Amino acid sequence: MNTRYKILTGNEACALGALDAGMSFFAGYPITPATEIAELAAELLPRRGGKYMQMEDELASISAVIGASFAGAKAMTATSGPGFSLMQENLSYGMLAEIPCVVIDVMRQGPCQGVATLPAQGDLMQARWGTHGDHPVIALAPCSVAEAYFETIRAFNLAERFRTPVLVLSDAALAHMSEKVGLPEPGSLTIVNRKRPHSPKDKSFRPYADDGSGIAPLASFGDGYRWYVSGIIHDETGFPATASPEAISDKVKHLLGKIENNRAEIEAWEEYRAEDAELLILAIGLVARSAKAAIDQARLEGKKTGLFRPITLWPFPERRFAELADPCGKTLVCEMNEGQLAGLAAQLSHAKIIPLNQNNGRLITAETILQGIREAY
Amino acid sequence: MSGHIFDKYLRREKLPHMWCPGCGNGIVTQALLRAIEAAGAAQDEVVIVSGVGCSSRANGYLDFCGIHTTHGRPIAFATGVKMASPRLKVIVITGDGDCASIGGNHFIHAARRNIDLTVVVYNNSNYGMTGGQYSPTTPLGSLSKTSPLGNIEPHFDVCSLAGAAGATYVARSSTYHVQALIRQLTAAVRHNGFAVVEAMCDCPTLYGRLNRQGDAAAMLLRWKEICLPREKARSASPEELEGKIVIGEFVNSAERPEYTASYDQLIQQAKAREARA
Amino acid sequence: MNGNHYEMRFGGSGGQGMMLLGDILSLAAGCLEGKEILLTKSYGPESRGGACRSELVIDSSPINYPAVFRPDFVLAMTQLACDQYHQDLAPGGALLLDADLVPRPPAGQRNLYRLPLTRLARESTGKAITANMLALGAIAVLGRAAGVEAVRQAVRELLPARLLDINMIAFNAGLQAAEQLRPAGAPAERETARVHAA
Repeated sequence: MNTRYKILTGNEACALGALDAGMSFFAGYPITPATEIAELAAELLPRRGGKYMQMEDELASISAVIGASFAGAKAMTATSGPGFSLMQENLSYGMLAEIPCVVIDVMRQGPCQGVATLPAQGDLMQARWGTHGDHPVIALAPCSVAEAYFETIRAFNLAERFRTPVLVLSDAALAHMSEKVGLPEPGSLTIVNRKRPHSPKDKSFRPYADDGSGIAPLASFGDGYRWYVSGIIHDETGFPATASPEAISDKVKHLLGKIENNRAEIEAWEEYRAEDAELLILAIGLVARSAKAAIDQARLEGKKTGLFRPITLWPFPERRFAELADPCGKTLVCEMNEGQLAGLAAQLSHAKIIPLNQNNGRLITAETILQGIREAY
Repeated sequence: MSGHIFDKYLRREKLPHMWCPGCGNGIVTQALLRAIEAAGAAQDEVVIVSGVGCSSRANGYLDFCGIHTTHGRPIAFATGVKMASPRLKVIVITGDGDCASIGGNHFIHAARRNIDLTVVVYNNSNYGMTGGQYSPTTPLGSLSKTSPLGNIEPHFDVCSLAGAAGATYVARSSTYHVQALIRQLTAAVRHNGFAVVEAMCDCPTLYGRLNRQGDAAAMLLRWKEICLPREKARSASPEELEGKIVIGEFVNSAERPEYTASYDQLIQQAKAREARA
Repeated sequence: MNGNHYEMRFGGSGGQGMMLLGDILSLAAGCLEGKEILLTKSYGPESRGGACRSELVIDSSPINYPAVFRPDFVLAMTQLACDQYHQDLAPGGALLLDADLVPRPPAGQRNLYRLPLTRLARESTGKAITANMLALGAIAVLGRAAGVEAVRQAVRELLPARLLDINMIAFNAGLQAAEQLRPAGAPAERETARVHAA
């Protein structure tokens, strides 16, 4: 028997991925369908000397997560649509103060309480634009339990590398289904840790000064650097810099630029039979798996169809998408919402965008997509 | 003495401060610095976490590690800092609106857990930063920009709230009773558990002007008139307590376990169970 | 759908151990025999006693959809589960029922196996709660999820040591009961109109 294989649910994979990435603090608030991530964190973190904390609400959860990260912890929370909405203001704090952390949003049918146990892809734009102001964001969208494990690890690595909150978008179906995951040997994973400052621990320390890499090193409270940061637009000292239009503009450009200028390192996607496709399908998460089955069937019918699946949803891998979509002329966008990606696809490509939306708490089946292919082709 | 403390703990380059002339926030902040000194807290081990509002701006003038967080959330941020690094002395600077309104839930739950945080509530009876609207501590009948005919909402007693929720050190003083305030803050910083000090302070520009309480000096002297030490309040009649603010130490208990200490025990248990398995 | 695609559904009510069946067979087929598996579980809103089921898809290729549409094997431990699920059975699919708890089997059903699982559990271990392990033994013989030894190994890995003996007794009783149902040497799930009953 290969003992490295385990049967895990999507939620278990997220929790174990986080632990293997070095998570030492989890703060959360119970919400279906994300609760099992918290339960596993509560069970496993203390055994490794880490801490799980059940907060009074999601406002507190994300705040405590960012606070713990200030003190050096790799920290995470997990939630679903309603809780994710409550976290938005403080996510922007993490983005502006450039504090690494991970938020797992297990998407469920919305809006409002919606249907707590059923999957959806309704939070794609909330992940991108949920908080106020123009802000950077990294969001990853796994399509399998194994990918939930590895993308959670990648989320921590990207958070530490780019000093920013990173989102993982799972859904209610992925969260609760079980698949086989080949867990890597201990020590074989690439784990990224935040860059620490080496400058003198005195008044000359500027916590937001670029060291030439575009990302400032991050000190932890208590390690001898005395520093302060405000949620107000600040300069490299961490103090408000609201009087200068240049300083405001520079800060916003820096936040957006550190993601935009590092797309190559952040973007990830999957292409399936896309090289010679005459019809491209754009889909993420579990929907992309139905799309693959539909593509195989469509090709038996002589319809050259291919898939583009962003694994990094934000920043959207837009150049590669356009490269594939434009020559096809037609793109079928399959999503479990009312067209959140379809609108984006229309902006990014000259191809005719054909939306296939299903927003009823059920995963889109291969048959439905096959029908869409037949009509669109 | 005071020169020494200011040199040590103030970021002088950030002065002058942004508070209005006569604002009580400076008095409370000075008392806090004296308390940190008296409690013997190491400067690099102190983290100040503040919310949003006039009082929360104090953080930027202080030479410690500091986070100026979002409105209402400093206690939740501070909880994360303390959990990740329990050896740090984490002090929350918050106002009446930040603490008792938008942050009220975090306030009572942190008190319930008895996590080792020192929470200094600068209570100026209104939202100063936004221009003088009524807050949950604005007295009944008081005027504010959003209660132009008089406030019809009863106010929260921050100390009763903290005590009822489980805080293990609770005290109140005012900008007039500075020595008592320093003593209370010193005890709060030394305390191992959730400590709350409510400092009644003055907003002569907004609350004071709207309610015709006179200039800053008059407002300071007003605390002398209306504040009643807890010992005297015990024997006072309800009529004598009418319109008065009781000051003093309300709770000072070491009976309940502190949260991060309990958590460390939990980790030891979990590790022992893991080792057995 | 290729020839290696195999769908199973285990239906009963909360407390009958349907979820554990899915876990054990996933481990056996997925980790011990190296197949692809996809397991889902669904519950009613009740914590105890409501209708529940687990669904297992087994394939030699990646599985694209996390649901069972046309199960090749259905276990029904309640009349409700039987009534709901037997209609979805794939052509040639097998239906295993608890003969006592499902008094009204579907008429004209091919490949119908009726075993008094809960009664046999009581007789073999003294505990009705081991009926799921009895069903597991029968599934190991009658179904195509995984080989008997892999299933046995998965039981050993998943169950706590203190519960292993009693559950193995039930598992073996299920194996025996199913072997008796099946004509010697015949493969499981033959196309047959015969109703097998113990």
